[in-house]
Amino acid sequence: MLRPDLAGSGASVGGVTTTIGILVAISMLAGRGAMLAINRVRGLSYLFLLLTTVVSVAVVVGLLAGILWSLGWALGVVVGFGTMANAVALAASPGVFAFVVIAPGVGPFLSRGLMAWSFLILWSLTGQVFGVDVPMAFLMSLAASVATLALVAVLGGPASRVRNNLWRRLTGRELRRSSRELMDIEGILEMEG
Amino acid sequence: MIAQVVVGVLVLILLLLITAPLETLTWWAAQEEPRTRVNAAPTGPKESQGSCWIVYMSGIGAVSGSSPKPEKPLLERLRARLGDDAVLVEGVYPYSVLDHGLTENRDGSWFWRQMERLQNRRFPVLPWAINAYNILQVLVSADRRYGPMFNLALASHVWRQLREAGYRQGSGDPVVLLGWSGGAQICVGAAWYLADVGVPVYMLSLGGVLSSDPGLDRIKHLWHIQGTRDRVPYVGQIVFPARWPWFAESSFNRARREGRITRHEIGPWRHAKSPTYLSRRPQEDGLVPVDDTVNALVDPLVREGLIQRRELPSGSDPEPSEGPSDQT
Repeated sequence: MLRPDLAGSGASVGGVTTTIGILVAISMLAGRGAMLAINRVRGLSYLFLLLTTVVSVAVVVGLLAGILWSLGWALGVVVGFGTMANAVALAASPGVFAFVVIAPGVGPFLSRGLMAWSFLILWSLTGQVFGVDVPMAFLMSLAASVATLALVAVLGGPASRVRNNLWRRLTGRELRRSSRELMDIEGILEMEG
Repeated sequence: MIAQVVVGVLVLILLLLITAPLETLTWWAAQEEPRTRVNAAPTGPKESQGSCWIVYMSGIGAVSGSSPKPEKPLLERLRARLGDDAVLVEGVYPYSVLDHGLTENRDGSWFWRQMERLQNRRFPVLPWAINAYNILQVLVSADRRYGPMFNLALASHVWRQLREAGYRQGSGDPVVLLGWSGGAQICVGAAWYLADVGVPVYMLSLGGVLSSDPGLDRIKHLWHIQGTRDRVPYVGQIVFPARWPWFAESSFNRARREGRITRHEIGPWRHAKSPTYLSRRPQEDGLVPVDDTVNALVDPLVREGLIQRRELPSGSDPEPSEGPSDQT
């Protein structure tokens, strides 16, 4: 499945990874129910957030795949970028369970558990795709994951600003990042509404 | 077989956890955006009935705003001790944003009424569903993502009850939130919003399970009363990481460092198994647990100057409430 040239139909492989990406995005949004509720997201605004989440998942998969591909190239092992992207997308498949993050109290721990699970899959697939041994596959996966997180931290700010601007144009209100903002509204207990 | 049962139980727990915040989220999503500030006029008696207001939040066995039968002797004795010095406000159901209990005006009310009916049986197994539901709502209150919404709803219910009892905003009258067991966390969460409208907020935690809620930043003082054989409050110390000592700047640890949290150990009372804080049967040394508990609740308020010291005249125990005889 990781090797469309061997598996035959590239379209079906791409379809699976695309489906995984969309399911992961839907599940991630479900897990962030608090953010959806605090912003009263419904209808068109939900579709907007779903689209932006799909794009962000695709970007992260692309970044991670690109970094891993580059590492492999540096080590003299050249694989197709499509193969790498498929592997990373498969590694992201535990994200399909991201909706469990909505659970109170344990949600953040479950999120870290899903991330660890994804990393284990990435580690295993990296070894298979590049044909390297287990320690090398671990180092490559770890380096690529850390580099991706760093890039997301750098690029995330401008991307968030673009998203927030589009949200404001679409809904006419600011996008609340968390319900903590309610605690900063003075006298909210006495307000109508 | 055992593995299948374990997996089934874990899946059930996960399902319950996932659905726990949905009531809060759907409630907030249906609210209008806060707009105009209005004057919160009291809706109760014209004359203030006291200078200290104590709002009681039931433990996790509650199904409605009416205190469960085991808690009534505590409240009756407390009311008798407080006299005219303070107003004891009940009626808030602490474990729902909907301002009414599980047994009325909601889907599944019939189920909860059956659970309530079974609560008085000798070995109430199924009614643990009530406790489980309420524990999950305590988690919702303590969760940083949902707590602000859940606690806002509870604070609004408390605020409405206070005003209906005659509390006047701007009077400076202190409000003491008294939380038993899981009700303590609900009290802490509501404190943030009550203090925001100018209410001086104090808190009494009776065997309470507390997180490091931001509401602690606005509580003037918290007295935590715990029986020497009660282990349940330690659950809060363990499951809420912000209470751990190395999170020095958490709301809980900051409040403790500033001397705004006092822990007071009382008699050998347990949380749920006899003798509990609420037991009326005299012990071997003649001490009555519920009287010891009432003393422990009143003494800090006297020392703080919130109420005057008063003793019940001897032989003037309040009328016992109707219901099954106290076996504890």
